Amino acid sequence: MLIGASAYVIGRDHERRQQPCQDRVACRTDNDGLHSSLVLCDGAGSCIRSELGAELLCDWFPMWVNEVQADFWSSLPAELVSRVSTEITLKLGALAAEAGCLPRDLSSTFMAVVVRRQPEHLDYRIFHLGDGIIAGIGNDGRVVLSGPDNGEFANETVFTTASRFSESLRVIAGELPLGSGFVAMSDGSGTSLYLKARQALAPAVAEMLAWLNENDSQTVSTAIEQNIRELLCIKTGDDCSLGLLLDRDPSRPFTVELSHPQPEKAPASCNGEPPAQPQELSVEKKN
Amino acid sequence: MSEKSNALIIRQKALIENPDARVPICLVLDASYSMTGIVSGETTDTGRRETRDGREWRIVEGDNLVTRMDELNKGLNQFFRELLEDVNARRAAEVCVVAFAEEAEIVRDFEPLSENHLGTVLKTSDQGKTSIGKGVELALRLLDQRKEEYKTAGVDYYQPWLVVITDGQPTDDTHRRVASDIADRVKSKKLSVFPIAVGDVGDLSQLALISPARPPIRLKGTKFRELFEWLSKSVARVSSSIPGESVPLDKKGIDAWGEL
Repeated sequence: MLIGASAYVIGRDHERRQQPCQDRVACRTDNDGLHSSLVLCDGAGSCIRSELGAELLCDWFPMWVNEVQADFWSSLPAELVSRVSTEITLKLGALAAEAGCLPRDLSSTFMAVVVRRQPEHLDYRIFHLGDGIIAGIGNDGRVVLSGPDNGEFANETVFTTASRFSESLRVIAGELPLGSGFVAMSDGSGTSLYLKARQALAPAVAEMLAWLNENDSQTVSTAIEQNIRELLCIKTGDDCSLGLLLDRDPSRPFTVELSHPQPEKAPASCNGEPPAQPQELSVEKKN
Repeated sequence: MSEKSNALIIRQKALIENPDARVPICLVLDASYSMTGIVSGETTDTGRRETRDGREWRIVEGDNLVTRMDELNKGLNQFFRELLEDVNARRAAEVCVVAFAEEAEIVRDFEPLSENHLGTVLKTSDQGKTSIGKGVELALRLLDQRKEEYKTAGVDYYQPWLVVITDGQPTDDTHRRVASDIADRVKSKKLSVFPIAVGDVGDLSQLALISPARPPIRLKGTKFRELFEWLSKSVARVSSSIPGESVPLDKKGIDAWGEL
């Protein structure tokens, strides 16, 4: 059955400026454990009400998927792009009118994973706009990764109110074996959980997914929050959020290990040493 | 917090260390002969006159003489000191220093900030020319190289800054040669340019050619200290910005050292 956990924690910079946390994340699994949605939005730094926009989308998306379940899975990725971007634009417009602000003030990134458990495999649809990272980690060692869509500069990305929203919204459709897991994280969490130079996930991602094998959703959500607060927030001033989704199957425990050499300092060409060579993500299966 | 969730702790070595995003800053500084102009001290006119940098100079002698270049060097070192003192800026700022007179030369190439930067000293050249364009050209080449290195190493970076400080009119046309390159970069928001005129530069129209979006700013007296203080604070603000966060220029802060 599908099980999810998630948490978000305000970053030091927002805390210092007495501003709200702009990250939101939500996970909804149907009672039968066969359908699940994970959604994560990172509100735009300069937009005054972006946490409202992020929250709206995290509340709305799982409900919308539930409503359109009948034709959701038969829709082509291009159709999903069109439907989701249109719905989001309408939702943000309505919220802006209600809140007395501009839709732009509600801007955020948008990341979501929708999973359906089939008898032999998992169907998934990944939606990704802007920065942050989403990945599917197959129980067979396969990794499907959707990396950040930034502009050239570190403080540039695409948001839900951009004119090129629908052109930039990525939809990835696929299947993974039963017992696989998914992760979505904001760029703040990515500081500690995603190696940009090699487009690789940290081993910690697989460790946390494995927690869902043996613990309930609330316990893992609490643990994620604690780990974000004590470990991830130390490495960045940005808000941090993380969502996990696992197909828990006692007959197929999640035993994937994500491993790669851990760099101990900044990539070398920026520290006067030879540049690090990009490496393929190495994925191992535990016995 | 339940006992069970207390036991679920990520191992430190299961996390990633990403390098901090960098703010590349190119300082293109006038080191032409005119920067030996005296700004304070007791002077005695020797009676000699020299024509350099397109101007006639009164040659003086005296005690405790402070030149424009002395003030620039003090400001520059204060800039490095303030960047080093700021936790974010220290990790993010990378500064290259290019000096120009008749020719341009690298005083400091891009590298992570360290205490070594505090000893940076520009020397005035004997060359009696002010080739602003050659200085800018060299700085842009260094900047492009550095950006490629960032990309190869997977290091994020912010919009680069180009700060040009001169006390004279260009004595050649090289600045016209780079003007369209700069215009393209500024228009596509790939570069921020800050042209700063020092001393009694009368006509700023030539300097304006390398800064299509922002008119040249005239330094008040020798307020290099205030200029570099503003610059280091601005860099610190940029270095802690996050995606979607625009960092407006502290225009009010410019009043402390410059005027349009």
